[in-house]
Amino acid sequence: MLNPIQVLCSDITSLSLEPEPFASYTEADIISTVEFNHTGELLATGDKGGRVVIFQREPESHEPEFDYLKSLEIEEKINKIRWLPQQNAAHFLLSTNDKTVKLWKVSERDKRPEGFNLKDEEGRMKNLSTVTSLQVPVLKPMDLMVEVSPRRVFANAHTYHVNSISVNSDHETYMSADDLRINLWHLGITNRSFNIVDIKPVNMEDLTEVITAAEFHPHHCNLLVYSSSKGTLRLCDMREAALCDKHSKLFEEPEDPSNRSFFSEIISSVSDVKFSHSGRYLLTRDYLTAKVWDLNMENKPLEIYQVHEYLRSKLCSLYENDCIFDKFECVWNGSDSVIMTGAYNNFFRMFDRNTKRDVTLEASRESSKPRAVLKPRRVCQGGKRRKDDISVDSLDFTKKILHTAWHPTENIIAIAATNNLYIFQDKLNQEMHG
Amino acid sequence: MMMISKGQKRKLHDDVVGCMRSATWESQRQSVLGISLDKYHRGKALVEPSLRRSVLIANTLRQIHIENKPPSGLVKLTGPVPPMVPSNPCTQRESGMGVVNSVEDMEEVWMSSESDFSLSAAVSSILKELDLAVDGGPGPQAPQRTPFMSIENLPGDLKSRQAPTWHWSSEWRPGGSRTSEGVAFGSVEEVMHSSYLQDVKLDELFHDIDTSVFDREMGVRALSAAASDELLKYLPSLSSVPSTSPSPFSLNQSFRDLNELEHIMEILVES
Repeated sequence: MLNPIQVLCSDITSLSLEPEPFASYTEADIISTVEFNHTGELLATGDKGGRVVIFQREPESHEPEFDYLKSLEIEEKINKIRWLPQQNAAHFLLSTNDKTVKLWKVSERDKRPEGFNLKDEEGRMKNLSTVTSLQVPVLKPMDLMVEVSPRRVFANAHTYHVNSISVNSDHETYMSADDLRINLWHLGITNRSFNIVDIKPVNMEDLTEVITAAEFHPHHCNLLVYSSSKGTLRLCDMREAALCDKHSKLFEEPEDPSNRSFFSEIISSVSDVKFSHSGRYLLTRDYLTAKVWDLNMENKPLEIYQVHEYLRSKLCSLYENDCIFDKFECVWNGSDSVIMTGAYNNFFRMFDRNTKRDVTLEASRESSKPRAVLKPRRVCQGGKRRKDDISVDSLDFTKKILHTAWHPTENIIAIAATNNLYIFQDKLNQEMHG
Repeated sequence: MMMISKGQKRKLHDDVVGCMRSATWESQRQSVLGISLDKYHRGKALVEPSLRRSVLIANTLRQIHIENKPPSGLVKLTGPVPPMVPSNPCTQRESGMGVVNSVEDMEEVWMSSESDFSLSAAVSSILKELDLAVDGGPGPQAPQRTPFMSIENLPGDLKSRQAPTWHWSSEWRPGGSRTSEGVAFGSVEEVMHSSYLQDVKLDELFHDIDTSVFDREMGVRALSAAASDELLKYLPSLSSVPSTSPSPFSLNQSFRDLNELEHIMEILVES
């Protein structure tokens, strides 16, 4: 079991997408999505400039080294990347920008035939008189060559901005969700999609709620969940009706009247929703908290974790500078025992669901050196202040960790801090325990 | 690092600070109202227009409008009333949004009820403009259109197939209000909107102003989002141009709404 108090050793592979360290970055370099594939061998990042970078784990090394593998340029900022489960030697991933989803094939070539009879090593024809015996060409390892090619373009199905894509457990279909609609696609068919959720009102003046995130159940291919800007979750069963406007279940926590303010609705807006690997729970993130829901209990969450409650008294300023609209993502670890989400000042938080312990860590060059152990951070609100505490007013709100990923089987995490990617490993607890 | 990364020196700033320190609900309400209107107004100039953000701001404005007295249990307004609050707070709001009971009411609470009426009109116009600014749908008046064909698959696809038009089999859709071209309709709206801007009508709209900037834009085949934002920025100059004929193009309407918003801002800031 991951014990967050023992902290993560930072075997930092600090992979900046800028060539020089501390170089100023442009808007285009801001990482907008991070995703491990299903085996954890590959890690993909997308940025606002439309570049996808794929890293591959060094197979031989005991410690996780992720090396740059390939990058490709897609037009427009990338909102999400999702890997398909691997079915043959090649890897496939889906990427989406605001309007269009694309399927890419990532294939490697790491062997080449050698020992031809008629050609020499450089490919020149041999002088036949020098050939005295026949040999069978063999496959020898070569420097890995990676090819990425577009295989499908799924276009013209979204009027509004796509915020989520999710591959179904049937491995044949996937969904794409924008602010008002969710469409179902077959991976092999690009000129047709089925609209399965539509919350657009006839008059846009009546619009009060948008879809913020959506995901398929990991095992039941007929179930999907989508979250809204009003803080609700809707579980839909595609077997019940072709158009899933009526939910099977509605998850909503009643509002706490003592905490009511003008910003109550905004901070209740769910920015991310993720099924647990087991499929029994849902993890959601709203502005101040992360919540775990039991699929069998709709009226309130099972667990509530305060990510940065110290911001509650600052909501007015955060509304004014637009930070209140930041969409933080959240993730489960492989065994569903720990949840993780980002915060400001390049902080990210982990909560152990079993021990109820939590930790705040920081992803930055200044505070982390390779092989060093990450030091837990603390935000103080007044009262007793310890030596390395940071006060709420000193937090850097331009340094936000919105996107994080957790390796499917090991305690390795990838953290996107603006234009930098950090990879951390828990040295003490390398294997995942339940 | 400063809490407020963009420190703006303006009249509202003091109220924002007051909002953080003071417990008076009414002053916070006015501050949030001012910030919200300002946000909405500047939101159209955002590089990445966000429907979610606009809807949340509009909902906040609605809530401010509806909640004209503090929830029970909160500190009542005892301190001096900030300058933005009208001298005679309206007490007749039970009659609903924007409705004024009588002429006397109108005179007594002139400032606040006009603000309320303008506010509800502003909220309406905000949402109408959402359709326009974020994604160019012309609204429910748009006529039925033929389904739109998708982009062909990239070369290298396994089978070459004819691209059929969008359609759904009838058993997939259980009858009801949505047409079988629901999704295509949405995307066709956007395409038709773009091509409409290429029409002659556009020349008429820009008749009186320098069109050299737009000559470049007109050459673009499909009106990109960036181009349409560019256009929207130049539109304020149209307010001085009388619209000769009722244009089906809804920009003129949103223009009047923009002016209304400006008007509200003036009222709030100067009162």
